[in-house]
Amino acid sequence: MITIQNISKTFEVHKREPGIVNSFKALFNRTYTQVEAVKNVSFSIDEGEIVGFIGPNGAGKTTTLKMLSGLLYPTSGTISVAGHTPYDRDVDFLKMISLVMGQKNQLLWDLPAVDTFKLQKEVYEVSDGQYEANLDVLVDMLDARDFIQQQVRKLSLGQRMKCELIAALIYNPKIVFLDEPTIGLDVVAQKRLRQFIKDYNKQYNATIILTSHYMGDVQELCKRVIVIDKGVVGYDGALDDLVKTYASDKTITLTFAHEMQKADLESFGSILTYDPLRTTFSIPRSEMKRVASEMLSKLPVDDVDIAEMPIEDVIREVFSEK
Amino acid sequence: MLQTSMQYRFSFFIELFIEIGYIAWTLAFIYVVFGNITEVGGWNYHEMLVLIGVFTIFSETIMGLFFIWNLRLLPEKIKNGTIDFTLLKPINSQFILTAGNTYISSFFATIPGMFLIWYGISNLEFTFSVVNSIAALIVFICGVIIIYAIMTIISSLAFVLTNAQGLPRLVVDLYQFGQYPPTIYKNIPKFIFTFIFPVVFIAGIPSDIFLHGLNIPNVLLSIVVAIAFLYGSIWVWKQMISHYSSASS
Repeated sequence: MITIQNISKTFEVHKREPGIVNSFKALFNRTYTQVEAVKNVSFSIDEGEIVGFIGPNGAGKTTTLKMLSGLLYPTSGTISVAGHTPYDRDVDFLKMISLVMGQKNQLLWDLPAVDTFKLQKEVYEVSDGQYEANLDVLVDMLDARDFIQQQVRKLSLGQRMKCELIAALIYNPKIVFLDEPTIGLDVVAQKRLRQFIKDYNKQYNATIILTSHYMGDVQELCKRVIVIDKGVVGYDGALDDLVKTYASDKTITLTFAHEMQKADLESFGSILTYDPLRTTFSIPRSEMKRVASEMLSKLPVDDVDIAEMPIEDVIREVFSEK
Repeated sequence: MLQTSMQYRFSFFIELFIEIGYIAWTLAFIYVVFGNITEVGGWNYHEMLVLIGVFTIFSETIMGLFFIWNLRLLPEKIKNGTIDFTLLKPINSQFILTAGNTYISSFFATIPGMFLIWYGISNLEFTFSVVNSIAALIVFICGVIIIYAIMTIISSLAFVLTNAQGLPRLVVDLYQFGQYPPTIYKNIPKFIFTFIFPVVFIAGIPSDIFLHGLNIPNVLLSIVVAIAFLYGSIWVWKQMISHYSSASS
């Protein structure tokens, strides 16, 4: 469905020293630097897959997504999406893709969301019957019936995101690019949205590519992940393997009732951060249950917090291996 | 509620006032000049009024209604990356971004424009001809297409330059040369204003055909130049859009 080979994208940015004098200097004499946002990336994705792009800010996730959707021309390399070259932006291609960006909106700000849906219907030439049916399904899936007739600017962030999704999916795109769709949403809304993405994928056998820097999004949705940092693909494969290989440890943070000596704690596992009242350990996934119960019974624990390794650490692991 | 509508009404009157003031200023200038001379490039005072009327309809109504604001906002949209969604729609992005929004209030400028044409011809020995009027209209439409194409080309530079808010303004300043009789331009200026920056087709040649009779070479020339510029703008637009770098989200 999607094949990209040796894609690179270079941006030209000019740099200047701060201050007014340097502003004037920069008017006449600029130093340009080439920033390689994406370097020699290759992968292919099959129909119906949900693939997660993960990586820290500035890793090149969004740039890759924009090249896949046809907004940006790659500096070199070839892209093929469903037989089309995205940057030609031919009508057939544009009708089968959709791009949703968590931080930008396409809803008409002063009108009810349903007006944007109608506009989309006209732009994408969806028939009346098809539009009604799609709208019905999407509204039910997202539980959005109450607020699609309200002015967009009066909607909450979560409601707005739901409407953005309806607008983006009303014409049944076969390929959906989601750029940080859950950003800024609370935990409940994030869960809802993830469930919806799963359902949409199942119902229409749509190919979905999602970027996120929340591990939760990826864990719940994607069997396959592509880890990108500084424009380079560090890992491409099953999420389970990624977690097994690179995030084999979980962290447990204990808050103590009274101060503890470091020496008394070291026997439980490797210490990530030590503080007499609050210490974080790194414990192998398989050991966690046993170690945690041991800690709870032997130590004066006030509070306990078990967490996945932060995604930044997983990525650091991925790239430190290389 | 009341306050917002008052605000809109206030801005409406301001706009009307500016339109009328602008035309009055131009007329005063013409009036003063013709106090000293009797004709410019073979055009007398009342012929000049017809020309200014046609130019007013072009610059205030047509450009204001469809193009000026869209093109002025384009560099801003490119800079902010808000055209991302527009570019991904299965529609002609050039058309939507350059003429997508209409500004109805510009339509009022037609009234003073029509008045000038009417006042001019009612003081001339003029016989109305359907053929001449249609030919004049064709050239006028070609003039609109030419200026639209030039504005599109200039505005699309914003895809490369990123910050280019002032560019469309440059075209507006340049097409002011179109409000004088085409006969006053000779040699190099004539070449420039006919082929490079063809402003003679927006008001000068249509008024000439309307007042002085059909000039077939000029009609054909306007059509050729208009088609060339339109295709040129489509080509440049495509080239420029490939340089679009979006804005980081």
